[in-house]
Amino acid sequence: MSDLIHIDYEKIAADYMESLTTMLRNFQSSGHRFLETWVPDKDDSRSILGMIEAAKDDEVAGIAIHLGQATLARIDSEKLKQAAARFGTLSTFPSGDGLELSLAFLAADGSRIVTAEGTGFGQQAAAVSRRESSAAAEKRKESHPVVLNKGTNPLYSHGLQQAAESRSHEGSLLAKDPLPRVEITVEGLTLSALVDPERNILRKAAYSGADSENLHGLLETLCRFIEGRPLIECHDHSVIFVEYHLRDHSFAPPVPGIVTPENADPMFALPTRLVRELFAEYCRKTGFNNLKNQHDQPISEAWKALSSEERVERISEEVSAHPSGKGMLVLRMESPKRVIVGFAENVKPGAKQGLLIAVEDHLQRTLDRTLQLYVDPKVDQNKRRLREASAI
Amino acid sequence: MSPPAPISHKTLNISEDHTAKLILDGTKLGWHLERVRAWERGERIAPITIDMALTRACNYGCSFCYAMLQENERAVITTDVMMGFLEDSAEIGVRGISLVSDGESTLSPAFIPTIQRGHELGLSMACGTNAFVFNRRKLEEILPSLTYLRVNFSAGTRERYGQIMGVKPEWFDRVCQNIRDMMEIKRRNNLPVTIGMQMVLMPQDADQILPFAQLGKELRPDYAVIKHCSDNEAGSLGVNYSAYGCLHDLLHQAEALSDAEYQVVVKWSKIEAKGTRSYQRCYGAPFLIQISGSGLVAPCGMLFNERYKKFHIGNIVEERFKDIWASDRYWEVMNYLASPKFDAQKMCGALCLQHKVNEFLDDYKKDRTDLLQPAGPEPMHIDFI
Repeated sequence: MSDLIHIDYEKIAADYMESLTTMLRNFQSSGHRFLETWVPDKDDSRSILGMIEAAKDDEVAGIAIHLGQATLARIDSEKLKQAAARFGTLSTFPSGDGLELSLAFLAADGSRIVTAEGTGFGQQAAAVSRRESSAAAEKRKESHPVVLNKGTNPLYSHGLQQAAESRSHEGSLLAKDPLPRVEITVEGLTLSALVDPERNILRKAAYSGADSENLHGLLETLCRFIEGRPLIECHDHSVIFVEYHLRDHSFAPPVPGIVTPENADPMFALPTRLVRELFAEYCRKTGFNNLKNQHDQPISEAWKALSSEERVERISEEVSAHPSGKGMLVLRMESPKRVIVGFAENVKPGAKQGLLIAVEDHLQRTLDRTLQLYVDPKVDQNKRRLREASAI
Repeated sequence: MSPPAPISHKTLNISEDHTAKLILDGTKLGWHLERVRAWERGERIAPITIDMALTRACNYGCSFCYAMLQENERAVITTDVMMGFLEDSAEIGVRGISLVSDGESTLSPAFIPTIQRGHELGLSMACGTNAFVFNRRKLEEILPSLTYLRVNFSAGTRERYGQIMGVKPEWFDRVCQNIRDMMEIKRRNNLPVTIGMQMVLMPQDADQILPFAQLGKELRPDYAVIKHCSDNEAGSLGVNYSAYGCLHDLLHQAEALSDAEYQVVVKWSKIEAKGTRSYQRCYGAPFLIQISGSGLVAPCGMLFNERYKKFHIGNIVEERFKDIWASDRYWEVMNYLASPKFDAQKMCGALCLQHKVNEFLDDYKKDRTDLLQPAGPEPMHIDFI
């Protein structure tokens, strides 16, 4: 690990900000060439990931970043570690009052490491039935490592790469299956589905015709998402989910305003066409024409299996372990999806919104993706209504 | 077999009565296609309309008041705060500001200066009020600066007015006189302001439907509208949406009282929706946001309560509105509503202010409608979508 470049993140960031007002020309960040392209972000996690990205792009062997207490208090270090691991081989260890984050970008033989650390799909990926055995998948990966197309949007490259590693949905569905099969072909790509005609739920999906890793990643993700869902839900929202799950949320969103699959990246036009034409084909074949979509995303089997007390316990553990959860108290569960929390008095009102979003996101990633955080409501003060209610 | 309805396109369906001068039961978003296109491209668009209040306080005690469910940390919106807010709104491209929800804005010392300054800045200004504290002088001051003034008036007789709206019955007489004065000032000065009366109808108050429509015919505002009552996700107000179905005959009779200069309008689309939504994502908030009478900026009034703190973006009492609007926090919350994390069917109350805008945008995103410039004349109050 002696080839690692050692960086004190807080010092580098502070020097950079100072230089903005003390330098006029030949502005550059101190020390290393890769830092010439690095610009800090007000979000420390993004700032650190940007530094790692710059180092990797400059083809250095590796980087060791020291994060002090002040930085660690502002970030979700577990989330940062997950995101950082996408760039190389990660190791972390305590260093002084903080943490050292080491990334090796070169393997022992000197080759560049191609990584695909698993995040993103979580429970959903685990629930997908694999058609390809793990041994076969490993063999295929060894002979054909996933290399994404040139020009792939970096925001989606990790998600696509990870999804493309499995080919569990590539192929065609067997005609002997008792469920009716629906199939459409768009631009040489075929999407097939077996649909439960009683409940109009898509039970199995498969694709064929993909000729690039990007397409494999995209269509694997689509197929994983649509399986088990009502066909109308697939039509209405599947690509919103696909875009959201493939996106690397460690970085800024793809557009400054409202993100939709259509404005996020042109690649999402294809799955949109596929699911919409599949739905139309199903309607043509069966006469189905109910456009009402009241699909409610179910909780996972694992979450369902826990008692209410166990859920509160698990949530409390996760909340207290998360940096944004300091000063947050789990009060109760209103339902298996809804968690009611309160705040210690020293938490500033203006900070609560961001803390709630961060902790909710953490709970969705670690426990169940349907979990929602709410605060104890302020109560109705209408005396007349309260009087009437008490009289009933 | 030809493809069924779900994938067939149809032309813009923002309102069945889009050729009418007033659109009270639809959305006017179709007349703002440039902003819809910018939204679609992922740009940070300014809201077209901001609905807000200058205070959370109210001198009435209506039994159906949704604002009672919206409690949050109070702060005082001063005239100075409003002057800055109006300038920011005009600068970023807001078109209309309505002082309607969450509290009785006429109780605030900032009320008249806000109406007048907003109008000076080129913003369309509007107001929803119980109209109790008005007098002729105040009406003379504000009516020239208003696009519309709507009086909340949920009964047709003196005694029932007092019961339903939680006030002394004699307040009915004062408000009736204020409406007569509004119309007299409007006619005398030939003002473009539209004066309306609005009944929020709880099914159990159906006995007041016809008296309300008849009272309107006597007072002669430009229109009288009858609408459903919104409820929160827990159903705290106990609105029985299925009971509206029994009131159709009465509502049609009320509509039949319309004449050439007085229009009785029933918000049928929301009444017939029975409190349900056809969509799960909320795309409407960036076009139409709401600000509580505490200064709290949130995507929607239904999310004002402290319970929904994760959606609370900022407060105009503490921070300039243009900074709040430009913040990542603002767009993080707006994106949350458009993301798979949010389900308006399960996480919102019934029939919000953004409902018709949401329906339109959701249909568009699902390929069920096209974005076309609407045919027919431009409706009135176009800045209030």
